[in-house]
Amino acid sequence: MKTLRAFLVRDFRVAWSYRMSFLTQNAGLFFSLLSLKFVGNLFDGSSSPDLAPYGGDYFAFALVGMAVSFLSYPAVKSFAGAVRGSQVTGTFEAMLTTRASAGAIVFSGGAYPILLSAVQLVLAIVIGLVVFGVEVSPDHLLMVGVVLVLTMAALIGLGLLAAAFVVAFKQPEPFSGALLAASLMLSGGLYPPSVLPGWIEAFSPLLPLTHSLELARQLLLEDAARTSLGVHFGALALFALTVPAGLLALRLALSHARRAGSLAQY
Amino acid sequence: MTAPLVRLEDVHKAFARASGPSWRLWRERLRVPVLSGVTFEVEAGGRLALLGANGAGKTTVLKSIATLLTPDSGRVEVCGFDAVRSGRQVRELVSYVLADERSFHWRLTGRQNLEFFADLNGLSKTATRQRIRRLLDRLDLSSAADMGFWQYSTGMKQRLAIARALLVRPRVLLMDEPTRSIDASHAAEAWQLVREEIDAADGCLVLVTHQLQEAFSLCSRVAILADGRVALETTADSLHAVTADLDGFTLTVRSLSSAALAAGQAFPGVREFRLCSQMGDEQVVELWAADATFALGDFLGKLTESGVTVCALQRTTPIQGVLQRLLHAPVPREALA
Repeated sequence: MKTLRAFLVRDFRVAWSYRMSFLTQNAGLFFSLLSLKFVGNLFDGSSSPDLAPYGGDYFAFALVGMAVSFLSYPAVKSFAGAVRGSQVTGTFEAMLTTRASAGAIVFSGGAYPILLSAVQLVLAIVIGLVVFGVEVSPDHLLMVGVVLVLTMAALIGLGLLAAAFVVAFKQPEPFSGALLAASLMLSGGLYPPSVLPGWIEAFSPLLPLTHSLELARQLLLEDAARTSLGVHFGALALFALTVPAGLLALRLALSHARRAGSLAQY
Repeated sequence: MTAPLVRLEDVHKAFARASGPSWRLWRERLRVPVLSGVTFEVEAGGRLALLGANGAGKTTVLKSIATLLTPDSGRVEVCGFDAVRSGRQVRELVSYVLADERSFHWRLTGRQNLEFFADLNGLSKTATRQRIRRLLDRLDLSSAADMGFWQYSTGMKQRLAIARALLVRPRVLLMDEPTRSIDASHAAEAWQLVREEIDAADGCLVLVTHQLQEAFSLCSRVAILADGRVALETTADSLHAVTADLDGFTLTVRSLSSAALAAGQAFPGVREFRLCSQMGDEQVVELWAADATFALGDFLGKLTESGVTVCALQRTTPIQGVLQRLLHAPVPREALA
């Protein structure tokens, strides 16, 4: 916990040293939601069969999609980014000589962006509720919490695998970008996967975010149909198994880098 | 007899020359040995200076002790813990002053950097506050504590690196050229602090330095690394006795004959005058003289009279001279025209 706190404090201090960027970040969130609201106004009154299972309100659909998607980028990218950043700035070796374990250092190094995105998720939902009048069901908030934890676990596992790649091969990893691009297109952040051509839609269940978005919408949106919840929970739990795989890969990568003498190389 | 705090036994390490074909046999052939059987011990209270030319493997030794590198073979132990198998226990005993001055967060202040590393080392808030105050004060960084690290001079960054290593009072302190950019008075204060901290922890120091005087004043023993091994391990006093009254020069000359070389060797005060290398029509010659009795101007005049053209003259730092004298055989005189 002390290691995690050290990194959170460090990253907050660094972020606060760029005050303008720090303060404008949340203003950007508001304007993104406002844009979505205007897009939603386009569909007002029209009844899309693809939106019907989610209650028919496009803005509410996209709001949840956007909020949950906030988590995906930092969860997948931040660990690898933290490792690479500390290699480039020369702090990685210095941190690895301390009493903190290497796993805790890599994990904590990526924690701040994830925490920030979680705050933005909550903020987006609150803005949707308070400013734009989206109706959210309060009955399943606990289950939504479980969905988010499982989502984080699934994505963090992939993020740790990405970090292991950076440690082992001393170069930016190419996979998380491809994964995020695929998630953006196939998981249904801004449109239901059902609008995709059938053969493309067949790939969407292979992405953890698809199941997270489906669960979050079914549980949060007032008029959404609640179907196949168990299947989606099971799929997310399976993806969460990437966490031990990621930790193992990171351990092996660090061991390889110690043998190769490449811990500080980039 | 007390058990050593640091023990290296027949440590070997080779690095891949460059990234290349990945099949193993080929890569093995591209590996360059850096350590080829390094063995030494440092006991509690011991202060060992590691000397050697660039690339001799000094930093590799420190990184092996600090668990940043895994040796190919051999054993590295800290207080009886194997550095490979018990890395966590070893890191609880070791602090490392890295040679890389970038190893801090530039957007944070000096104090914030120290707080961050204190947290990683598990120090309590009270201990962190007290240690930081003491260390910043002793290293004359108190007034700069709340300045951004990017505003620090190179010497200040190095002093902050020493402070970081001393946050936890380590049993084993590893220092890689820690004072190369620190002015003399700050360096003296830093060394005084290091001595006090080592004594308080009943610890030991392994210091990599290129400054012979620093090694002599701070360390009780000296080990010289060459060709991947400890070529010489002795007391600092005995090495000091060998080098104390020596003055060294490297001359680049033309038309050096055997007769001129012999005349140079016979010149009053000259301890050694030898050919080190020959490149084209130029020769590089090393001159060692007793600094009390040697007249450099007269020596150069004599050399010129015997038909030698002196192209360049450079004072040799004692460390270079000691290493060359101890470790490298001269070019045979027969190589001369």
